[in-house]
Amino acid sequence: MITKSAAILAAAMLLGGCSTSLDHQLQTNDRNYEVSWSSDPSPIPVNDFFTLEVEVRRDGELLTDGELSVDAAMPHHNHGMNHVPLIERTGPGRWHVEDMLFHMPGYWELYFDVRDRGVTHRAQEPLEVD
Amino acid sequence: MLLLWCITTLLGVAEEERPVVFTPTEQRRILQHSPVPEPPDDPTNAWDLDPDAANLGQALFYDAGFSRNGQISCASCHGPMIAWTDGIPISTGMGPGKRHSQSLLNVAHNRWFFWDGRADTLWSQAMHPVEDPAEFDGSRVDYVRRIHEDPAYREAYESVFGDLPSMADTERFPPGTRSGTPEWTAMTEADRDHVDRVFVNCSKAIAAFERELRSVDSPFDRFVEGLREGDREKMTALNSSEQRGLQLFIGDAGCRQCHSGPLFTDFEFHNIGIPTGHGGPPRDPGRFGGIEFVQSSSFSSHGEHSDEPNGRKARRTGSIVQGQEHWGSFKTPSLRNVARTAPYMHQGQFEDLGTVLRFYNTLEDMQVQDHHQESVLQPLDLTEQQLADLEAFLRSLDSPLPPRSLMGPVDPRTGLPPPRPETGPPTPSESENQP
Repeated sequence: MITKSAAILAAAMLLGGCSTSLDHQLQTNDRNYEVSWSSDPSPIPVNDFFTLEVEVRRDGELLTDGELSVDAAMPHHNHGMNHVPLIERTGPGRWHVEDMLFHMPGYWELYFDVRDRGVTHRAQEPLEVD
Repeated sequence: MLLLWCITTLLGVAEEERPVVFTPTEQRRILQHSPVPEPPDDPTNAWDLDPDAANLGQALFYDAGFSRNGQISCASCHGPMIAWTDGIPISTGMGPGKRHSQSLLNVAHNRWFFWDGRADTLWSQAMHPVEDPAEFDGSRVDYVRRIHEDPAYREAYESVFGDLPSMADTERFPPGTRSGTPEWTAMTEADRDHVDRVFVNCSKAIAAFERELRSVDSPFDRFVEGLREGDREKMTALNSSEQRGLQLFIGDAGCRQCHSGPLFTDFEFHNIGIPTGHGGPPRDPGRFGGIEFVQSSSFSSHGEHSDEPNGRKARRTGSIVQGQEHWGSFKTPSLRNVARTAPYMHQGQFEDLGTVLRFYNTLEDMQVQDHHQESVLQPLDLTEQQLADLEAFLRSLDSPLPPRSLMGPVDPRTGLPPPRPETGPPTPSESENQP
């Protein structure tokens, strides 16, 4: 699912000289960071484990330090995932995430929390998994 | 009046026979439920696919000699003639149990075992009943000693797992000793390790047998095959009522929220507010307690007896999130062969499928725990015809049972039925019947 705003953001990132091969682009809610991500498999399956590749940029440049945490929830069900995902930094501004599992079909929200310079910035993506 | 009756009757018939048209979204969802793949390999059990281990496991499964009174075996609560369950609400072994016995059909697909998921491998599940006072009420020292002393078991065990050291010294291996008792603690660490190793290996053999308990070729699967191939003849495997029930299942009734995938389960845990029977909130912690157990047990996938203690399964057991929503939640059961496995729910609260569907239809007597409970459950408000259609669909998930060769005891060395006990000379009437 690529929303209109995500498409505009992707175009802006390309115009700004930022390139990513990842499928999804979004901004943190405070618009300070760009978060790109792809899942494997894609689209995200129902009740099968999947992985994520994530890139985080500030002003078009991959984040040289900072931390990332990833989580997800089904707001209408009052619950999230049943596992804490394993997150490995693979390079500046790049992370590989394992053990993601959306065990039910329906509306999920995927959360990327970027912690940089002592402050956490959240980017979130609405997803319909079916 | 007669004219009105004729018109409504004809309309009713027309409705009854009208072919069901599935939208592209519905078709995509239906295809997710079939076919059933091979059960996943279990890397924590190096003998998972070993046929000799499975023969030993089958012999152990049907052998009541490991229980305190010599009358309880795995098959007592998982009887092959009733879909490897026991047909009663609360299982009883040497004492009254606390929960309903789950069917073992297709059990190797599970991510977690028991209603609360307190075991993360099939082999570690198989260890639990032996020392449980409500089940075998036996002891692992006696269990392992019998493997040593019985020539058939000893030969079968050694051919799969290697030599068995002697256990003749009853000072070192006191009869009747269970884990966790003072007698157990007084044994040397090496002796305890020896007992645990043999006990675990036998449980891995049982898991190798239970992996073969598959039952996956239902009328529904033939229907899906037809849907995938565009073969209308195969699609007649489901009649109109069953197809309407299927449409409800994947649509308005919301069943696939939890009963997803080829096994019709998400393999996870939910609190659906089943009446507790004693009033008030659930006393059984369900998954909440299961998480604590599986993460702390030395017999889980991360433990020293696992054949892949640092693998993916071990990591995932270690990363489970325990939240308040898990209190009183229980594993989603598979719906394959569901018509064979009454009564239903973790304490057999509902005697038949109709009662289950009526609960979801009205949520009458639903036990509201707190705001963490699954909040998507709403009364379905289906008509009687829709309930009948849904039940008809569920009954279409029946498959032939596994081969008869898996339904009884075998010689652990060969996997063949044991020789019949010798009897006296034939009676005259029997002699007369000889060809």
